[in-house]
Parts: sequence; C-alpha cells; structure tokens
Amino acid sequence: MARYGMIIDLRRCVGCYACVMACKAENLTPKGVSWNRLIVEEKGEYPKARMTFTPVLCNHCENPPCRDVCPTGATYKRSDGIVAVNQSKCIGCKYCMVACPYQARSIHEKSEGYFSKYGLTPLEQHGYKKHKKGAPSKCVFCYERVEQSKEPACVAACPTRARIFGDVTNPNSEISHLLEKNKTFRFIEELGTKPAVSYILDQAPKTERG
Amino acid sequence: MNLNRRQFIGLSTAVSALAFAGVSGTKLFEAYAGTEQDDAWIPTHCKACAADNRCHLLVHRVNGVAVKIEGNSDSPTNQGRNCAKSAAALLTLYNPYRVKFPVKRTNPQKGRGIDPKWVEITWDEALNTIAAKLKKVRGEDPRKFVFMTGHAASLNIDTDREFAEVFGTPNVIVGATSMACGGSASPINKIVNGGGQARADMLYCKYFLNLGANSQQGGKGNSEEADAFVNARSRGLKVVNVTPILSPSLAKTDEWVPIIPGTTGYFLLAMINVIVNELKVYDKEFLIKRTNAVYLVGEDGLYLRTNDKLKDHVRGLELGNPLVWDRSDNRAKAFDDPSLNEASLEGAFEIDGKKYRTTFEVLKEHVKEYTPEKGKEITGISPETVRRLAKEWVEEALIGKTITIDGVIYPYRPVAIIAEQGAKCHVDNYMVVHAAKILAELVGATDVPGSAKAAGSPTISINPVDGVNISEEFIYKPLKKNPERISLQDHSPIPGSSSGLAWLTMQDPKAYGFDYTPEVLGIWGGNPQALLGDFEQINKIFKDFPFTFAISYEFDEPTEFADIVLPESSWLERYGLTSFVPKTSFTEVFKTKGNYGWALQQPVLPKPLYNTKEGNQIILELSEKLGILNGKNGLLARLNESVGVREPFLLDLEKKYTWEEIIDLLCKSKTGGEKDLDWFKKNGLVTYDAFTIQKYYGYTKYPKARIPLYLEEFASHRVQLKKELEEKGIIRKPNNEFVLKQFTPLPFWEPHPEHKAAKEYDLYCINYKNMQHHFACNVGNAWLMEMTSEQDPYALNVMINRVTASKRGLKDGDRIEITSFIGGKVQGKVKTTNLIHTDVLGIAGAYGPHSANMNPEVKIGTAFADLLKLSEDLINPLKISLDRDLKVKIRKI
Amino acid sequence: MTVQNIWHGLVIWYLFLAGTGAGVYLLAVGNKMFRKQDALVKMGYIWGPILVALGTILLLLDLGRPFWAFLAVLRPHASMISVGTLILTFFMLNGFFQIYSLLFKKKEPPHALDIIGFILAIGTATYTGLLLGVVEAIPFWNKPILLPILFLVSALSSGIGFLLLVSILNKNSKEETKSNLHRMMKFDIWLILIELALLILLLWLSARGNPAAAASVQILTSGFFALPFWGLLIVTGLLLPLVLETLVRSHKQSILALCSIALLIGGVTLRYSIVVAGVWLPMSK
Repeated sequence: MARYGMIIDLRRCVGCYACVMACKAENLTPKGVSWNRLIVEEKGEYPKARMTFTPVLCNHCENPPCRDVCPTGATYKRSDGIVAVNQSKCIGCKYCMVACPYQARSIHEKSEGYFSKYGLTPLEQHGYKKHKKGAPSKCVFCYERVEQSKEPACVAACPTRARIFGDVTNPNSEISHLLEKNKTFRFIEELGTKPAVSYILDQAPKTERG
Repeated sequence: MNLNRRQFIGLSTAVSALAFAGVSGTKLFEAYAGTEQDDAWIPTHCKACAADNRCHLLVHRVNGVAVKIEGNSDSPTNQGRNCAKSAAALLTLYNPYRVKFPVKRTNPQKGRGIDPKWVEITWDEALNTIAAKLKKVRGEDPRKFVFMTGHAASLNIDTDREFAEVFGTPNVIVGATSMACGGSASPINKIVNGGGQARADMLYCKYFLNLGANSQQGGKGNSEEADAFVNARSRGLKVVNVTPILSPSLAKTDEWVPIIPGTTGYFLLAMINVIVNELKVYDKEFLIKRTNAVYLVGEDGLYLRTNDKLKDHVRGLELGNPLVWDRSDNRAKAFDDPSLNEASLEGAFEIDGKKYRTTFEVLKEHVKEYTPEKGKEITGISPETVRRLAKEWVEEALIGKTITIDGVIYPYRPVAIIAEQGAKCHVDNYMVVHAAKILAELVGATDVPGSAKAAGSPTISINPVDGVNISEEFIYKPLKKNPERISLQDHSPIPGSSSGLAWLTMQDPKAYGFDYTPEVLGIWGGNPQALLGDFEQINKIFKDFPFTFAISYEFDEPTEFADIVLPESSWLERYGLTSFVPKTSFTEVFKTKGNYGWALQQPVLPKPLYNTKEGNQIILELSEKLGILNGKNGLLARLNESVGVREPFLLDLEKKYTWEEIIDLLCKSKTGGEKDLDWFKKNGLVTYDAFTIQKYYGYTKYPKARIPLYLEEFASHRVQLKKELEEKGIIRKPNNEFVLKQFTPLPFWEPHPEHKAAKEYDLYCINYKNMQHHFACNVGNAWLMEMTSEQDPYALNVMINRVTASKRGLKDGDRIEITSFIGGKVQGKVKTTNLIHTDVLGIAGAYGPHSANMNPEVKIGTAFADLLKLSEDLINPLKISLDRDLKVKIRKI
Repeated sequence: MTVQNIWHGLVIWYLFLAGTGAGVYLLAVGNKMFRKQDALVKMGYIWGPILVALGTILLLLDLGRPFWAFLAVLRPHASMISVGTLILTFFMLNGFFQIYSLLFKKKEPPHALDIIGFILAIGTATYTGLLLGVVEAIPFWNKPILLPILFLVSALSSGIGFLLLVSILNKNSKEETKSNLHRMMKFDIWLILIELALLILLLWLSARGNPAAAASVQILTSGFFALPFWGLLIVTGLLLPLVLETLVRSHKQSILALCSIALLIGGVTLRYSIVVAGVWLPMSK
C-alpha cells in the first residue's frame, strides 16, 4: 500500500501564494478556513536580511495527535497514510485543533460565505456541501484527486514546482529520490508525530532538478 | 403563495435589484437551482493580469457552475500551473458587487465615496441615451468625446482606438498604465533589444543585476517566468538586487544593496565610470561591430556625416552617412565603407579644423563626474561596493567566451541587467533604462545567450542612413501649432504611448491652448485615482464632464463618476485570441511542444452570469446605433486593418457581427483557415514549430543590427524641437528647457524633485508590488483579499526599517499619518522590518479603494496613490512617466 | 510563536464550573464521609451536580455541532474528552439520583453512592487538568501530573468559596454550617499555599523549558495577561483570601463575602490564565 508524502523545496518557493489559492479553489473551503498557509518571516539583520516563505499544511503524521485526541473517531488515518476527517461524526469540540502541533486545522462556525449581504453564491452553494458548519477541517492531500491519479491541487498549481507529492514507499518515485538526495527536515519531530511533509532548506546547496 | 420557477426567478431579480439599491439582507442567488447536468473542463487563456495572456487555463464547470480553475498542461508556457490570481478568479466571476445590469445614477452629486444610488435600466435605454449624447457632440466637434481606457488585466480592449477613430476624436487616453508602470521602458527596450519588454535569458544567465521589482516575478508574477527564475538559480544564477526594499518578488536574492530611491541613474553611471575609466575592461569587438560606439560626433553632439542627402525618416531630415575613424588609414570613412579596415573605438580627431570624438570617447568623458565617492551621499552605496559590483560585472561577463547552440557559435555573456518598475518610474526614466543598457553593451551582453534580450523573438528595423536600430516611438513628428489631442501628444516630437498629460490639460483646457472643451467622457478600464493619485484634481475632472458613461466590470472609483454604467462581463465570460512565443528562455518545452501558438479566451458559462456583455460587443452595438459601424469609413473597415483578420476572412463591411463571430474569423485567419472558433473552444490552443533558436537571439536574427550606445537622434531632435517650439510659440509646462533637457544622447543624473524636498520631509516613501495582488483590478477579489489580510504581514501595512522605527518610538501595529512633500496624506499601520532601507517607507500595491459600492471587505490597506500629486515637473516629458517616489514626514496618531 | 485561540470563554468557564462543582461535592461529602459532619452535605449533593451541569451546558454551547455530542463517548481509551464525558455523565447521574432521594424520597442517599460520587468528583476535578495536560503541542499545558493536581487543589479552594457564598446568601444558615465553614477556611490556608507552590512550580518549569512555554510564562508575568494574572489571580484570588483566612479573626458577613468572592475570582482566573497563555510549539527552522 502506498504511503503518500510531500516535499516542499524552499529553495524554489517564491512566496507567490499559488498553493494557498489552489487549495481554496479546489476544496472551496469556507470563509476563514485555510488548509494551506504561507508563513512569511524574516531572517537576519539589515541589510543582510531575507524574507523567507514556508508553506504549511497538514503533515499527515504517522502518529497524528489530532486523531488521538478525537473523542468520536471523526479523524482517522487511511491505509495510504492520509489523515482524513469524517465530518458527520465530528462534534466540534476543537480538541484536534488544540492538539495539532502544526496548527493545520481550521473551523468555520458561521456559514454566511464571502458575501454575507448577498447569501451564498452558486459557487459556494456547490462547494459548501462538502463542509459542515462547526466541524474543524484540514488538508486531506486532495485524496479525491489522488484517487484519480492527479496531484494534489497545491502541487499541480505551484508555478515553480517547489512541491513534490508521491508515494514514499515506492523507491522509484520522484519524492523518494529527492528524500534520498537532499538533506530534508520536518517540523516538530520531537513529538514523535512522524510527519509526511518534508522540507528542503532554502540555504541548502543548489542542485539542479528537472 | 405558490411560485413557479419562472416567477421565482423574476421575483428574485426584482429583489436583487432592491438589494442593489441598498436593501440589505436579501439573498441574491436564491434563483440558482443548478439544474443543468454537465461536467466539463473548458480551456481558456488567463486575463487575471497583463502578463500578455500567456497562461493557459482549464475551467471546471459542474452543473452550470464554474468550480475550479487550473493550468492547462497542454501549454508550453505555464505547463499546467497557475498563480493565485487566476485560481481566485472564480470570485471575480461570482462577485455580487459586480456591475450586474445597466444602471443610471439617481444621485446627481458626484464625489469620492458618494453613492450614486444606481437604479437598473434596460440595455436599450442605456445605449440609446449614450448614443444620443455622443451623436450630439459628434455633430458639434467629435474631439469633445474623450475615451479613457486601461490596459489592465481584467479587460479585453481591442476596439477602443478604432471606435475613437471612426467617431472622429483623437482623444483616447490611458487611465493610468504606462504613466505609472513599466511601459516607460519599452521604446528603449525596442531600440536596443527589439522588443517592448526585456528579460534576462534565464536559460544561460549566471549573474543578474536587478533594479526595481523582479521582472521574473514582481513584474508579472506569472508561472512561466517565476519557474525560469528558480531554475536559473538552481543552475547557479547569482542575483544582486540594488533596490530600496527587498519586497516579496526580490526575496530570492544572493545580495541586496539598499539604495536611496530615485538614485539608480547615478549608481549606474558610477558603475559605467568605473568600468570605462578605471577597470578599462570592455567588449571591444562588440562595441565596434554591433554598436554606434565608433561613430564620430562633433562638439554639438551630432554625428559627423558624409555630404550625401539621404532621407533619414527617424530625424525627418536629409542627411549623410555617419563617419568613423579608420585607424589604419588615419582618416574618417562612412560607417559602412567597404574599405573600412579598423574603426577606432576611442580618441579625439581633428577634421577640417573641428574636433570630433567617438561616441565611446564622449561616454568616457561624460561619466567622469559620476564618481563612486560622490555617489555615497547620493545613493547611500559605498564606493567599495560600486567598484566591487563593477568588477564582478565585467568578470562574470566572460568577455571573449563563446557558446555553441544548435551548431551556431554565439558570444557567451551570462550577465543581465534589467531596470524594472521602481527603478524607472521617475522623471528621468528613459535615462535609467538607457544607462542599464549601456552597462550591458559595454560587456557585449545584449541579445546573446545569457544576457538581457527581448522577451520573445526580437523585431528590429534598421535605419539605412546610419545603420542603427530604430524605435518607432523615437521617430520625429513635427508639432501642431495648436494642440488637438487633449493629451498634448501633438506637442511632443516623440509622443510615445502615454497620454497621461490629459490629466493636467483637462483641468483647464483653455490654459493649454485648446479651442474646445471635452464634454463626454467614456470610461473603459483604467483607474487613475488608484495609481496616479491626486484624486481631488482627477475627481474634479471627472465631475466637470457634463456626461460620462462607463463600460465596467466593477464600481471602482472612476466608474462611480459615470451617469450610466454598462455592465461588462468578467474575463471568464469573454472572447479573445492571443499568440505566444518563448518569453524568458527557450526551454526544452518549447522545443517539444512548439514555440509559437494561439490560445483562445472564451466564456466558461453557457451564458453570462448576469445581464452583462463583453466590452467589444458593446462597442459594436454602440457603433451601430451611432451609424459608424458599416461602410468603408466604419468600424468594421478599421477592424479589418487592426485586429488581424486576413483574406478571405475579412469582415463584410455591410454586415452586422457579434464579437464572437469576429473572433471566429480571427481564429481562421491566424491558422490559415485550418481552425475555427469551434475547434478552439474544444482545444483551447494550437502550437506550431515556427522558428529556430537563431531567430530567438537578436545576435543571430539581426547580424547587421547596430545597437545605439549613444542616442544621436535625441541630440538631433533637441535641435529641431527647440526651433519648432520657438517658431510656433509653443510653451510646454513647467518650461521648455525642462522638456528639451530630456532629449539627451547620453543619460545624466540630477536630483529629482523629491530629493530637493524640504528638510522636514525626512523619509522616502515608495510603492512596491506583490505577486498576489499584482494589478489593481485584483484588489476587489474577496479570496485574494482574505488571504492577504491573514497571511501577508506586509501588504496592508506600512513597512518601516526596524532601527528607524525604534528611533522614532514606533512599533508594530502603531498607526501613523504620512504626509508627502507634495501634500498628499494617508494613514497606515506600522510593520517594522529589516527588509527596507533605513530612510524609506514601503507601501504595497493599490490597496484601499474608496468607492462606495465595492465590497466593504476589500476596502482595506493604505492607498499609496493618495500621497501623489500630478504636475508637469514630476512627469518625464518624453514618456509621460510619473515620478512615484516621494519624500514624506510621519506622525504617530 | 502562536498563542492558541481555539479554546477560550465558554470552555474556561466550563473548566471553572466543573471544577468548583466537583470541589463543592468533595468538601461536603468528604466532610460527611471522613469527619462524620452532615452540616454541609446537602449543599454538596445539590450544588455539586448543578454546577457541573451548568458547566456542561457551557461546554455543549462551545461545541461546533452540539447535537452530535452523544458521540463524544466513543473513544475513552484514547481521548480525554471521551474520558471526561463519561466521568461527567456518571457524576451527574449519580448526583441527580442523590438529589432525587434527598428531595423527593426524603431519605439519605445510599452510602455507596457517596463513595462513587466522591471518586467521580475527584475524576471531574483532575480530568479538566489532564485535558490540557496531555496536549504536547502546547508545552505550557503539557504537565500531565502537575496540572491535574493544581486544578484539583484549585477546585477545592473555589469550592470553599462557593459554599461560603451560598451560606451567606442563605439567611437561614445554621450555626453548625457556619462553624464547619470556618474550619474549611482554615483548611483553605493549606490549599492556597499548595496552590501557590504548584503555580510557582508550573511557571518555573515552563520558564526554563521550551521557548513556547517560556513565552506562555511571559504572557502571564509581563505580557497581555499580566494584569489579570497579578491582579486577579495572585493578589485577589490567592493572597487576599490567604490574608483574610490567616490574619482576620472576625467572621463578619462582609469579610466572609469578600473572602468567598476572592476565592471564586481566583478559581476563574487560574483557568483563564492557563488556557489563554497556551502557546504552540514554534514552526520555525
């Protein structure tokens, strides 16, 4: 069985927000909900300072704290490693949101949509069927796309191909090659969550990548 | 009460009209039932920014609702990827704050933020009213109709000039673009590189000296160019940014050299000085054979020529061939004399008792005064840094090295310099761009692999008299005694493409010598209030028009001054057809997928979401009502010449067409009759293998081209212009000398108005771009704005250097009032940062729109433009480019 | 570093009310079980479950999908919410049965129920600490032993505050009730001292631990919550009752009222302080 993972090559990320918006458009997440975020920070002192970009999303941990704390089993792990949420089982206690070290979850508690004065647009009427008010949600690695052999929306959209998605158990996959060839890091590993999302540091040596 | 579906829809339309009139709480979309059963991916090209429509998209439609926008993987340009702006365009389509039906105002009062209290009218009423007003002025004096257009992203403006022309008015004016943007570099780019836009050749470049926004990202932010840029970096490209701010598009940099705003010209001249007078390293072969560096000029700055009387259409004079000094024969010869053996690059020569120097020698002398030492005070850059960068520049250029591509040997000069927005939006904009080109020419890094070159395949024409490249925009046009064009373009010998002076003349046309006063304003895009500022003056101009109509997608500030607004479809509901070629590098993809093609823009819904029409369709209908559509002087006849239809697909001058039908003919014309609109609707784009890599580099495509190091035509133009101004008694503001001074064959630098501001204005304030909101038309997008306000720490705030902030007792989140040296005022929230020069404040984009009927949730952020003022001494008179750097003072509130 | 803003208002009041309810029950029923004093027991039977029930209502109101709350019991082996839901449910059922016997059957509830209720009340008070204590993502909270004990001690202290308040408000309070309560106040001196010690321990451990935990301490000692922390928790909630209980001999109504209000304020502010100062582990590299 596949185990899906993602590499984000921070050397290639230019902070354009394409992934953030691709995710919004693919999943039509309600107002206030963002499964894919870009953390913009600064490193260094003037004039050697640099702006850094770190796209973050659900890490699809091997040991997901969000699943552990869920009182109902609404959050579960699929056999392909994707951590998914069955919103109809969720009670909205938000324990998962507190427990996720990656702050990858968000919730919509109002369902007015983006233009409250006008009600829901046809787009929102279409998209919000998937989202239950009061249930925290998060990135699900676009498993519906993955099941159709497509890349997750953020990966497909990334203008600079900074994101690589694939099966880490397949030694011939691009992600496996990259994991092998590059020094990568994962966030907050000390909790033993074993994230499926790895990063290549921006300062890492330049290596040509096709 | 039982309603059938039809009644229900009717009712909700009525209700939504009420909602529009201000009744809140009404659900606009309840009529949507989603009954159509479909699931389709519709190919179209993007229009979310003005990146030349190069990104090709697929729009997923489910049961009549567009639900997702993705890149089209058939595309050799964006290769299936798409940026944030295009993905967010779903909310541009489903934006209930759009203009949804024709409206007229019921509140006669016009002003910033004043609600016109629109009410719905029919298309017939709207078009008839406009046609009646236009007919009246056409009968009196067609020049009284002023048509303002934009070139911004959200618009497909193909018929504006043709409409104005058949109407009989010379007054098509730009809202803001070109005056506020990078269009200002295009004539220089054309004359040097053979294309309106220049790019670094990202496939081979190793050293990228960037001035202003990053052309690979900040300029347009499109997928293809950002990808080429990071690929180049992964191949070892070194990026040096000489900018006052390290804005988001500049984040990927190897070195940042902070510079005081408006001093890039000095910095470049100092670099040139170090190279030609200290290092004395330059590409001699290139300068001798490929430029006019060896041409001889006299004390008057004009070429020494043969005594022939050849027609030089650039200068509008009869002239001989320029001479060069043959050092083996020790005498002057025509530049193309077959007996010419070895032209002298340097030196002064006495001929017939007069002193002549090569233009290169003139350059050497000219730049001597721009010492790095003196520059320290001016640019804030240390002399050591200037010298180091100059040394790096000549070393990295690998002068003498060659590279073989597809069997052809090229000089290999992997250094590129590009002056983008920020560096060039100044009173001296031509000179900054010109200086950057000189720096490139010195090391032969022009139009060869690795250097800056035309974006795409170059197109160059050569002046047969002097053998030097021509820029159409530099061809001398004699002045009219009395101005006709409200933009005063007939009072400039090289009017360029910008008609921005109209914003000054329209304040008082009589004072500028016009014998008419504009009476009808048509608006089709453009947003001067958001980009040029001086909203009090500009709004007064808008208010003073007795009648104004707008063709508009949204109620932006200009539209709110209209009496009637015609609803324009969103870009996802329009037709267009655009070509593409490799832009920033001739990558493998173009070799395999084809390097030239056409892509269709088409409506993604079966019919427009609201009662809207495409702008071009509106122009066709309006023309018909005015009786200027048909016949040999009609709009269709003009379109036959301008839009690119060819035999046998020319428009029948006596027929009526929809815009869709015209696009069909265009599809057939462009594909030699092979593909029609239906084919494009299904397939989206067609690609061909149209040219080889030799045609992609100017070096091989135009082996005879000579690139001007020295713009001699400007020296010639100055003499002619001075004479014409005097003879015709024309006085340009602020004074004729100000205008004449800009006609200079070599760039100079002198302090800009902001550098001479009073001492109390102790900080600079600049405007920078970010990628997600590039182009003001995207500010109204609710998804983009939500993302920006939640995730972008800078965009909606005022950036200030951390050290400067702490000296002034400011911290993150403090509110400040900023007052510019020319009197503009804005407020903003402080964001301290290490990414900006210690003397500079940075404000992003074109945020903070003021109109009453836009989505209140997008009306946030600080409007940089409100700090600006329009006056002739702040505007480059050659290219009508507004100086957008300011001196300001701040106050905590 | 990001301060958690997921749990606030309602959840904090729930933590307080459930804790206070459990404290009231433990004190009153414990007084009966261990000291054979019945004077307070009725108050415990009644107010313990009622306060817990009030807290539970707030908790339900905070749920995104309250109508599905019954699903919360599905994973007691893993989720503290499931464990807590079960404890709360059984405590309330037990309590309501005791109230039913007392008020409608007019007889003493069975002794066994006291023992069950007592154990469940300990569970209620400690579990609220454990709920936060097991969250590894927020190092300031992640003290699975310290936090439950602190919450238990605080629950008892605010229980005393609540009992005092009820007896003051009840004009017909018996002398015996009052004397029992005065004894409780002496007991509370120890509770407050322990609470102070535990709090100092929590801050000390956190300040020298992970940067995120240190940031939490900063929020309380000098950051955005410093004023409530020092003013309402330390001074009003802990030091003032400590002074009143140790130094003031008088049992005037006004003194008792002041003491009771101060204890309750301390109970709320303690939970507020700990919850709002939760800072997630940083995501930087």
